Amino acid sequence: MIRRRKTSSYRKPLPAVALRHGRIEMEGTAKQAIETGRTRLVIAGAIFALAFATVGARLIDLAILIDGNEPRIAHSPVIERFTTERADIRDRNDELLATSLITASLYADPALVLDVDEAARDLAMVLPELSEASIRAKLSTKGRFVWLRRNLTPRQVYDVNRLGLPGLAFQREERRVYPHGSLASHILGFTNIDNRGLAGAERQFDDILIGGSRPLNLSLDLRVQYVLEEELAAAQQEFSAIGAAGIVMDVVTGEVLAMASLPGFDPNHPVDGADDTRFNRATLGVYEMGSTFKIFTTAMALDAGTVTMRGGYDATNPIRVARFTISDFHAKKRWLSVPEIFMYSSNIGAAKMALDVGSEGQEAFLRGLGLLTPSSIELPEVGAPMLPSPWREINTMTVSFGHGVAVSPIQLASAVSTVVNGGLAVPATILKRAPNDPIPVRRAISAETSENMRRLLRLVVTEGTGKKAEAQGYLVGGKTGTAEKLGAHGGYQQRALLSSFVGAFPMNNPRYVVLAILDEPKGTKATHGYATGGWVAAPVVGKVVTRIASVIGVNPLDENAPEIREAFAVELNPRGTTLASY
Amino acid sequence: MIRSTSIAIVALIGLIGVGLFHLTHEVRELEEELARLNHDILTEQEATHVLKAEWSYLTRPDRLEELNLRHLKLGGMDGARVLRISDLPFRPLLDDGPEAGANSAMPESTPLPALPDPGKNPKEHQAPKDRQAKAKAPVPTGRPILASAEVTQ
Repeated sequence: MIRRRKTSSYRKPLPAVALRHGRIEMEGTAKQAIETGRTRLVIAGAIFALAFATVGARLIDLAILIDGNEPRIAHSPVIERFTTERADIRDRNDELLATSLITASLYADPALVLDVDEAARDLAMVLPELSEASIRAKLSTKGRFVWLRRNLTPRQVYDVNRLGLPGLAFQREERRVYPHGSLASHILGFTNIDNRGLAGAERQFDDILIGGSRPLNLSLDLRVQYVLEEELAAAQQEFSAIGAAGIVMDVVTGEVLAMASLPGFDPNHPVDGADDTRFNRATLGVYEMGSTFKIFTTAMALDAGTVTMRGGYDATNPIRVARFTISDFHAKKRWLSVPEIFMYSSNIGAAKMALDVGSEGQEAFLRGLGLLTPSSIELPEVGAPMLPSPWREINTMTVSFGHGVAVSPIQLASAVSTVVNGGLAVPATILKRAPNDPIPVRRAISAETSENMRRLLRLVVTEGTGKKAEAQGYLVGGKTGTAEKLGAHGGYQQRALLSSFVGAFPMNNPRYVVLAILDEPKGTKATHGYATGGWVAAPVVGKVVTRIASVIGVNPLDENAPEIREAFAVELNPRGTTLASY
Repeated sequence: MIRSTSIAIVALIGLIGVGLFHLTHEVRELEEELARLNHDILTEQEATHVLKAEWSYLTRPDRLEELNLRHLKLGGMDGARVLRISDLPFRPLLDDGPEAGANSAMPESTPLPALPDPGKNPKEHQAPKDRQAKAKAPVPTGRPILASAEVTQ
């Protein structure tokens, strides 16, 4: 009874009176025990209440109140972007030159293939480029992995899947694709099947391209590249040349806008063509350039002050040194002024000019123009120039008109840029320069010499050997070059020529250098059998300039305007005595 | 009293439980949708990538040239076809103010600087007949077409 009352009292406190009544009835010790129990219960209850209140408060804090650091909008933790293993290559206007496309590659686990003969027969049917025997051989190997064919088309993937053969599977892979085919192939280079660069920019910038998500912008302009390649190819065909090379370069920044080497190859299938198609004539090939070197000889003599624009040399008789005879192709057999020597491309005059400067001066000058060290252009295929050693007097004479020293076309284009841009040497580059990038320049010749050289180069096109390079309104200036190639057994071959023209435009303030070289051109009826630079290469430069000038933002000028005529006025024959002789 | 409170609390817990379950489910659905959309974006990006390559292939300069020859037959751009804004003749002043009209020294319209040499400028917007007639006519003795171009650059 007491017990029951006690339990009930535990749940539901009895009225005070009853308690008091109970207390009265209870003995001292029991009463004390109950009092202790009550106190403990109250304390425990209070602690629990406090704990629950804390938890509740925290719950409210977490669920309802917002932490300041918490973002208002939830974001997906992983934001993926589509990337390829190898970054794209683009031209200066963001035109795609090389990209990676996802393909599927077929492999087999030979251990899982049930019937090798059947699998080989079926696969050979849907993949005709694989022979049944080769598939059988691959499927009979002991290993657990064998490639059957890389980079299948979606259609082929479908066909293979339809066969339902066990043990075959596809690996997602990337394949390098060059949408423009052979265009700019020598600059771009190519990759192997595992997408590692093997040549050109692909090899040079392999580390940057692999894993790089940003496209690589080259300095090339696809439109200029196309025009250059097309005009070179047309000239190569017209004159039955074995090869051709060309460069268009920005003279201020050193950026290569176009660089061509013909015959070219398709980087999508690099091994299909003959080996020599992959040879970059514009950077790896070194050639004796011939008369285009007179640009440097004349600039050197003017810069050194050994002769002035009004000076000249006697070119009446050929020079005989040891077993060599230096004579003129367009012989005038009289005293020639410096402009005349340049314009008529006189070897005798150039040799005498160089002799006055001396061998050491010549070597130092050519070194300053970067003609004696390999080009710094960012390509793995860069040819080292071939120099005379030792540099004797006879070498000084032959080098003055471009024989006895062999340089690559890119070196020639860079050096001509320096001569016409005001005298600053700029390293050639195939990478696009950012507008505010500092350009590493070094003064190589004086601004005054550069100014005089512009006049002389213009004179060659208006009056001299390079008339066919004229492009109306664009003030082309330049120099022709025709060199006899060294035969396989030494000695020069009269029939095998290397004909070139290097020009710049607009000559009143040159912005671009254009170089065209034809390897072993043959004269045609239209050229009266001539295959010299003035006949075969100069027209290429003229056509290229006409076609690209408006594209790259060069405005035409009126050649006959008095201020232009005045700017290019050159006193041809200061002595004025022999004008009647021609 | 206590009983009714308990029932109310249990009901509330039940309600919150259901609500929470519903919310969780909704969040999961949204997450799935997000994942699906992200995947779709990735697929679209891949497709765009392929299309860009194809576009580049289709806009090859040699193909464009061939299409031009077939459909447009546009000729090459040479120096004679480019003019500067400053070379263009001024528009005749049609609405002369009263002062200008009173001033006899002011010509009615600014004279054209020069008539283009027909042989030099094949891009004239004239009918072929017109051009032929012009070609036979003596070349006007004006300034050459580009004479006013200042020598810059």
